[in-house]
Amino acid sequence: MSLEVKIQNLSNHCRVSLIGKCTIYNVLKLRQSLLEVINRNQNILVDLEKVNDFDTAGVQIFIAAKNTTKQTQKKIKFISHPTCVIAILDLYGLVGFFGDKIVLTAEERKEFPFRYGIKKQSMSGN
Amino acid sequence: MNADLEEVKELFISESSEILQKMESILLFLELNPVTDDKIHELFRSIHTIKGSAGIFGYEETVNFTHVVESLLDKVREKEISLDKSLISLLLDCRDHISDLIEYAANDRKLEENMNLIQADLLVKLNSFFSEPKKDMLDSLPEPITEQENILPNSIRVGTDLKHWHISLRFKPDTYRDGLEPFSVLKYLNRDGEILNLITLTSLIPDLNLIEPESCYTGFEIEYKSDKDVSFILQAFEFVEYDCAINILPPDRSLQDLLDFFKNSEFKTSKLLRILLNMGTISNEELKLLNRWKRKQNVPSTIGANIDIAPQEDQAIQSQLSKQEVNAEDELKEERILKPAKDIGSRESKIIRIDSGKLDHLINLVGELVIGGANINQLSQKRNDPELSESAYFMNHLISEIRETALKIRMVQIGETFNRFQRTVREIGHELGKEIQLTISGGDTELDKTVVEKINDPLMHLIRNAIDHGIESKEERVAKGKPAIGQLLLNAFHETGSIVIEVKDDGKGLNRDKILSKAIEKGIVSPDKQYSDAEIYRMIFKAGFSTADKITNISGRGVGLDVVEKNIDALRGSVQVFTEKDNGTTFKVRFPLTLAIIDGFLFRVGHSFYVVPLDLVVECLEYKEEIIGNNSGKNYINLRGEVLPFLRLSEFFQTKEEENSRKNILVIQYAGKHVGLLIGALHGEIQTVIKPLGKVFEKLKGISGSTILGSGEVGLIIDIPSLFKRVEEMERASVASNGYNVKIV
Repeated sequence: MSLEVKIQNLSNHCRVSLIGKCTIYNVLKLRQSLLEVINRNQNILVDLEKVNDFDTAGVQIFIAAKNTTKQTQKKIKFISHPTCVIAILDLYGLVGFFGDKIVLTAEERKEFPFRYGIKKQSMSGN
Repeated sequence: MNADLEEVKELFISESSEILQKMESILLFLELNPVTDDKIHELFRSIHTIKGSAGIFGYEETVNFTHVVESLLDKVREKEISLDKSLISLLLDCRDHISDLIEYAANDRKLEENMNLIQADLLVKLNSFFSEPKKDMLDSLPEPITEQENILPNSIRVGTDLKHWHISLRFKPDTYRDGLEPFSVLKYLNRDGEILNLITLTSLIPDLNLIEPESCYTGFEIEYKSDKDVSFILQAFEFVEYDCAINILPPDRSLQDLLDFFKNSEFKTSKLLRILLNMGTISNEELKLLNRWKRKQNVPSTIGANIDIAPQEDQAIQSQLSKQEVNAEDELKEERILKPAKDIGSRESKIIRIDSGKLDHLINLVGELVIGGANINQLSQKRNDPELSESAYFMNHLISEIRETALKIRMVQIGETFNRFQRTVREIGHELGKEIQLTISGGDTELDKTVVEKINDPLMHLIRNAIDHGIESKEERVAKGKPAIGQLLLNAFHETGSIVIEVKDDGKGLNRDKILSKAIEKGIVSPDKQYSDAEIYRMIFKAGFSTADKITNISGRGVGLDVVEKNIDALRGSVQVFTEKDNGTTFKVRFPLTLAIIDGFLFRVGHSFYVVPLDLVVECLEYKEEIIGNNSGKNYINLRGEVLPFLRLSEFFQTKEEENSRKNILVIQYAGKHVGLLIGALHGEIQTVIKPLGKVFEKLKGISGSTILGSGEVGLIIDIPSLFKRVEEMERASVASNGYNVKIV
């Protein structure tokens, strides 16, 4: 039930790696980490590869982060979405809202129709 | 303008005055307290509501002016302009101007020249706050937000055969804490049907720095396909019903369902419609029907304005809309604006506005009912018929409940009246260069509406008096070692059937010698007599009295406190003064709770019936000659070790006493004192409908009205405050002639 947040300050952006559960049990930490990173950086890249659990409370924090960066003309990108994240983004129709590139495996493409919400940008699969 | 609209207009006027009143209290609050977002939003909503409603009635002047104020508040809300004292002052002036504008517009009067000047001046000041002055500001059109719905045809079916449901879900903050996961709820939906489309309302989620991470802010708009019925769908949500607000639009819907759905949503109709169109919930057919219905109604309303989209244009608009949709900032703004309309809607459903005339009529009828009931009671007792007695008893029980409920309808909280004085205090303080803090307590104390209306003037005088004469100037206060800010306290509470209102200041107190010399100078009192402190303090209520050395705008012309006493007398109230040098003065004003029907205590003196308010009665004692001994002229008894002065009512009213009749002493409590009344037979509790005495007896002292008893006889209602005063005067006269001092009060 833990979440580890690794922050790497790179030349033109800040890379945040989330490892573990982005769920209601860890949202306090998740929010605090993202808030600090957003306050300090202009461009943020969030690596979700090692996220193994995700829920609505987690997605809520992501949305809040996205909204906050939008208002301050900063950029936040989420990359390497694992299946548990895609499942929620798909059902909630939020893929268009985040506008991040989502890479899908062949099975995932069958499973997730991405038909909900309002799509702003098209996605690409491989 | 037709009668319907006229009625709505009246509602608008009373509502806007309420809103403006609230605005004023917020502004005054912000002047003293740190500015919070909540309060600014509230201000914004107030002004927006007024603008919107004024737009409906086409009050262009009001709309244009409020629009500028609204834009300014929007800047404040966006933190571009800070709400400082000068801006608060300006907004207060704007508030007054808006109130004038509405009044003029509602009466179809043209603005007067000086109002135009005021307006121009205010606009210049307002515009100076905008970094880039907007020229089009004055020309922009109103944006009506209030929705009116008249009789809606339930019969018009607008649904499609597609079995498309639309479900709006708004999860409550505690959802996660209650162990619920919205994702599972939605998954569950997919078991018995198919989610065709779903939009997550990202705009409901606050910014990262404001978010309460463990609270749920999520809301969904869902397009759902299922051939189950409504109860089944509701059942699916059964286990989340406490955590989730659900608004369902069924596939087999009437126009009414559609309109209800719009009404229940916190979104603006136009926005919701956009979502519904975008998601394919609403067909072009439905849109046509909706439009046709709207046109038929021909009411100025937003639904009309927003859905008047010609069906052939739908395609174009739809595609355009999908581009605009879910523009986060846009949505956020719209929602903020939306709130007032919703608030008003929910308040309206709880509060009914009634013509006070109708209420008075009801109270009168209840009064007659009480008398009628008493009559039946009396008859049933005479007949000695147990069955009749029983039903009479039952009926009387009901009548007294009806009476109490009817009177309660007229009860209002005094808080609103109190809050109005915030402004007065501020303004007068400014004028005199005194800084004063008004503290209000007991604002939720209730009293009769008719009383509330009438106490406004006397209270105003007392407050002005306290600020002008009571509270010293800043320098003087500092010199005395008091805090520079003067304190004024308005307090209300209930006490034995009366409401007590205190006006208390921490000023210099009344100057006994100055009052006395002034009173002698004005010829109000004779210089040869000795007066007690209380008597001297009462002199300030005499007409023509003023101790102020210089006459100010506010008070000092010697009109004022005499009016206070007259007004209070007219309400059967009384006023007491307590003062302490350099510690301040307290005016304690006492009013009866209600003016119409009271619980009375009936007794007889000689052959006449008298009533005193039951609340004032403490106890009854049997009167025996032994307890006062041989001295029959003595007017006091020993009641459990305390001296209880009493008044022989038969002497006072000069009625003939019955021979050998039993006598009783009724112990009355008033203004914190106990006094006895020597009376004849006791008849006990009675519901008393107060009837005025009529012109001939208007000047009668000690009697405030009459009532009709069940037997048809007349009972006289004793006015305790004036009785006390009268006795006091008599005593004083007797002291003056006899040279010794016995006082009852």
